[in-house]
Amino acid sequence: MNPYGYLAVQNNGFISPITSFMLVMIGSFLLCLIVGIENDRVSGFFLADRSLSTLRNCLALCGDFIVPSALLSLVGAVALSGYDGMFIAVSAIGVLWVLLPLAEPLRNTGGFTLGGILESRIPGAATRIAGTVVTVMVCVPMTVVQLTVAGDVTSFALGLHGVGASQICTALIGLLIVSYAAFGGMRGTSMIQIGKTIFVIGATLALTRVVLGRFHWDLGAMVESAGDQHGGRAAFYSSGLLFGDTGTGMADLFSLGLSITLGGAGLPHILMRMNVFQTGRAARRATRSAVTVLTLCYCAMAVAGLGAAAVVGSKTIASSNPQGYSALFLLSDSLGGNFLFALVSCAVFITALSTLASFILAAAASIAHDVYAGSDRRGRVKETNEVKVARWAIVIFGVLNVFLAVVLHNWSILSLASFGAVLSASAALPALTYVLFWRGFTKTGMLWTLYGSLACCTVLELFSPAVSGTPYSFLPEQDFHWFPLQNIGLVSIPVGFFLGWAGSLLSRPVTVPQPVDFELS
Amino acid sequence: MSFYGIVDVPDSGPGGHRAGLGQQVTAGRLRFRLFVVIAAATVTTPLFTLVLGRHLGASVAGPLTLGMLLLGVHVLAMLVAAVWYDRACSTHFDSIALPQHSSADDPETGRYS
Repeated sequence: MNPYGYLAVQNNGFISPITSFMLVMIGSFLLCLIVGIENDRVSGFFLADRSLSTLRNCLALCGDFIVPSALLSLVGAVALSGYDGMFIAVSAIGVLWVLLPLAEPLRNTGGFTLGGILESRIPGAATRIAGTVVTVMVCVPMTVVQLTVAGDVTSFALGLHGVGASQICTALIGLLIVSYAAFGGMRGTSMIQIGKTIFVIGATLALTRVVLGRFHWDLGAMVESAGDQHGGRAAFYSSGLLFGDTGTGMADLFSLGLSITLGGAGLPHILMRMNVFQTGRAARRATRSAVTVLTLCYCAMAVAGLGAAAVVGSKTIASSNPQGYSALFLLSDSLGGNFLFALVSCAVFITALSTLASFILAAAASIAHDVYAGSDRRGRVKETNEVKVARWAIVIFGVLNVFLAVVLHNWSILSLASFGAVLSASAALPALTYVLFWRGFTKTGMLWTLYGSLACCTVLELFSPAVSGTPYSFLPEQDFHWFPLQNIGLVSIPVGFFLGWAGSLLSRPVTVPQPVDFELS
Repeated sequence: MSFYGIVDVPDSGPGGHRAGLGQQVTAGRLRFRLFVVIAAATVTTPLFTLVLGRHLGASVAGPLTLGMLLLGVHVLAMLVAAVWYDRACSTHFDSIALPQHSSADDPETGRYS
């Protein structure tokens, strides 16, 4: 039991992780109940009636990009692998760069699911079903991994040990998130995302301030100390600590960076967020502003990572968690103060709640809107019924994911998160890019991109070291891998773009209505 | 693949049609320039990482290492490109008001009601 767990149990102070968690839970739940009252129409439940201001949407967009595994692993990666971790942080900022040219055209299609956006150019049930398949395949692994991380983090912050405690935390948090998404819809989820962005940025900046204060605001001393803790500055600030300095290791690093940069822009909850903006130009402007906000946030995280390496030491962090997930907590613990630890724990907790609610809502939107209303009932369905189906889809999808997260808790499933990002980059992004910007894109090309990339990603992932062949693989005792890279994006992303191009060229072009690009109103 | 994105062209005679096509070409040019910057940065940073290898840890000035400088330039390029793109779009498109109701104002949600 860590000292804060003791504080939590003994109730030796008001500001402890458990009281902070309780406050966040109650506050978020009340918020969802209050704002979710008017969620009986499709536009209200999925798009918050487009009533959120650009500033609020911008903050919610920033929140959409801060996921728990990224928040924890970024700080850990910088603390354990120096330059490689910073490279990953820069790749994460790059997501918004990719999203920037897409933001306005995406909003102007009027679709809020992958299937809906693709259908604006290529009508038909096949389009919506293919979009839903990819959406669910992206959302399931990401939701399961984030749920597991959220459970682990909560049990750690509360000072509870053992797998059973983590599993119980995972189940309770998961059920809480399902109720948030089902009651609050997009309006409730957005409000939690806004709160999360403010909270996380505040917490990271506070942590950065304290860690720099520890070194009397001498960044050079902190950088030097971080390097010394890892056996020398030259090695720590050079590439190769994350995946090795071999050719394969470097390819793995670049592959991971590429997957993060390109995958983030096509994630289902981001596509949904784009359509919550009142206009296309508001979406573009908010994305531009989000670049600045997230750059600030990720730079603060990188400084916190270096601070963790300097103050805590890489060996201590690695012995606590090989992936470095505990670096953020160990740093706030080392810097002292119950308040700082509770603040960081709370930031991670609210990050988990909001991110998971967004993922579950996006998957349920795709199931209810594209499969039930769009394909099964061919549009002949009452809005209230569609919302009802969406709420049930949230409950079923959410509970299934919670079950999977609990069952797979003892397994090494971190690679699943990268699978979701890679699939988004390999299937969703090429299809979206072609639909928005290439007149020659056809239905065959779209289906080849979506299903072909899904098959390609599945096969490569199955035979990669992420699944077998290493101690950190999904099946560590098995070894049937032949693909050398843990991160498959370097191959699967070009394949995804190629399939869309080849499929379109080989099929007969059909004259279709053109989508809307820059809004002229 | 054409980067000349697609614009709602108002049905206001040949003049309006030409104006719409002009917007379309401008939008494509802006997007192409941004794409070039993104692609250049995405390729250049890993390339330099690969080439520089152990030299990335070399000190450039004070606490700043070569690797940090490389990543810093990458981030700066992102920020500048984002601001430039948004300003260019604002200048070319946001000030134009055509009497055309954009199809984007009809959310997809209304289709089934």
